[in-house]
Amino acid sequence: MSEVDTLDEAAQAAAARPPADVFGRVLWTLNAFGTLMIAAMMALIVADVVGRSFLNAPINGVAEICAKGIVAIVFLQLPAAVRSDRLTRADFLLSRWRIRAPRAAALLEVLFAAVGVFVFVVIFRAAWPQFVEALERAEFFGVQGVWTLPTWPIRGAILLGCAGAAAAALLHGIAHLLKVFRR
Amino acid sequence: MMELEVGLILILAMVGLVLAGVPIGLGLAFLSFLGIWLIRENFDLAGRLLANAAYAAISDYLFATIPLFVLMGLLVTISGVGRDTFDVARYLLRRLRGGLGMATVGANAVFGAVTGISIASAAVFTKVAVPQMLRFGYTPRFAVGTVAGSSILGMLIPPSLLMIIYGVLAEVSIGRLFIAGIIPGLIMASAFMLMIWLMARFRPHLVQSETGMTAPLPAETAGSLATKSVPILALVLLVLGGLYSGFFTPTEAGAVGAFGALIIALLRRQLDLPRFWRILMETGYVSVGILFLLIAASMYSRMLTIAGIPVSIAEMIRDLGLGPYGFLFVYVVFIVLLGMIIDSSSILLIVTPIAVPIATGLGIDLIHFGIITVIAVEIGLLTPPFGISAFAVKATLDDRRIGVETIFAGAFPFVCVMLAVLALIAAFPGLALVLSGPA
Repeated sequence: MSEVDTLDEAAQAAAARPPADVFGRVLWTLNAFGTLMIAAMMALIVADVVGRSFLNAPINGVAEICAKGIVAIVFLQLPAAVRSDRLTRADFLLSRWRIRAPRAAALLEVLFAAVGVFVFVVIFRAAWPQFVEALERAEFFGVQGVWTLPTWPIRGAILLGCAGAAAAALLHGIAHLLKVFRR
Repeated sequence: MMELEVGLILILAMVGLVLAGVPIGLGLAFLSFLGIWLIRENFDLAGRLLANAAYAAISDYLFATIPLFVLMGLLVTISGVGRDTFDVARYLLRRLRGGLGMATVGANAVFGAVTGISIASAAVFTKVAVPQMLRFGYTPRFAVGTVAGSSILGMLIPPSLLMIIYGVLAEVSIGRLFIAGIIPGLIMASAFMLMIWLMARFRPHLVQSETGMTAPLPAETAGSLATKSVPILALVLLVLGGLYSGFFTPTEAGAVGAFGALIIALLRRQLDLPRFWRILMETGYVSVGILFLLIAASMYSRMLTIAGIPVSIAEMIRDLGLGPYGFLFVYVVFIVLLGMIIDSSSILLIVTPIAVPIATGLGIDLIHFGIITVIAVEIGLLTPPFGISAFAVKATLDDRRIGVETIFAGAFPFVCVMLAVLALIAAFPGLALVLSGPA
């Protein structure tokens, strides 16, 4: 029921502050960067609308930049979401098992964390050569001769996000594994 | 045949994993990988398809709508315009029996036009409307049920996150879907009000335990009413007017709407820098959840297509000879059942890629189908055991005596009205399509 937590102001405030541990801080920084990009995107689009409608001065490439930017935003924020267990899930059975059979529930969490590590490692492995290629060939998007931007930062954000999310899932798995064996 | 069997087994495994509580995006990505690997017998290819989806699935201007509308919703939530809207609606409906309940519905309908998330509406009106209703002798069950029930208007009246997700999955214009939601949303709100009026008239003890107790006239002047209603109406006009006239794309409507909500929150002195930062971070958490689901959903629908599932299910349905209405009936029942256990966006992700080709084959308009889908999915917000709107009311409610069962019980009449309106809209596609035109 993680969605309902979002209604609590104190929980929101806690999630907005950087955590104390180093790993948490790194993920928080990535997340904060993605957050700033959302605000920048809003400002950019509003500026384009105003420029286009009143000043006869549209901004080139807003749509393309937002399209690519949103990918970077998601992958920058993914590790923090994994770490704070904010990925959407239906935990109404699991939350009952946590009370009645805490060990079995913890074991399931270990399994899910393993699925997470696997998925993010697979994406990372397949995205790595694409990143290298984009860097070497100077792959770009935009309109040639008008404006172009390199795609490697976006592909790099995917790598960063998958690495961070895999590490966060791994830590989750270990924490729950300890719970399974705790006496 | 082999592909089909792998695909069907994976769908079953998916349902099992989701029930057990796997993060839904991870489960979808994992099973899509397994499916493509098993069918194509190529580990690296399966990995590459996942990586391609990660880069390309959400790389479109359209997906920027999601964080923008979430931001707009969170900003209007803290800005206090919800309370103002309720005050105005309350004043306008002051002479009617059950007026406070109807005011809750009316305020939700207006508020729904500036927010795309139902739990935001549920939270706002739990704080604003429930204490007022309780003070004037309304039964707790009616009060919390009305707030939970009318909160679904948030996602039926545009903007709506569910419509964005459906539009993306079904490849239908989101702007037109938004427009198509207006009339069904108004019908739904009127039907809710009518039901409350009928209840208050013929079963008054279900509404107000102490009959005859009417709320005293709120002290409102023309000036105070204007200050309370102008900001939100301006925002509604900006967003819906911009969309309807085609002046804004949905993404631009989201950005301008979020910016407008920011200005309203600043003018009302409800926003300082730490609070704005908190809301921005929260926007990030909410939208990354949805966008990651969408990435995973594109992997999953890729896998389904490779396994040939949509085509064979479409053939199966045709062989059953159900016809469009028979199919819609089975479809709605299926979604309502799923809605009892999993959350609304996940239902859309799992069901839409399979159902849309079938609907197309049966000649159902995809915008009409989208509105039907959204209403059916929203019923799941109100049904136990997993009804997120009821939980949102419970989480915001500062009253331990009112349990979540009471909320589900109070929301039940609203579920019945929703089913009736759903049947009406299914029977008359024109209600959805007259403003938007067909897909």
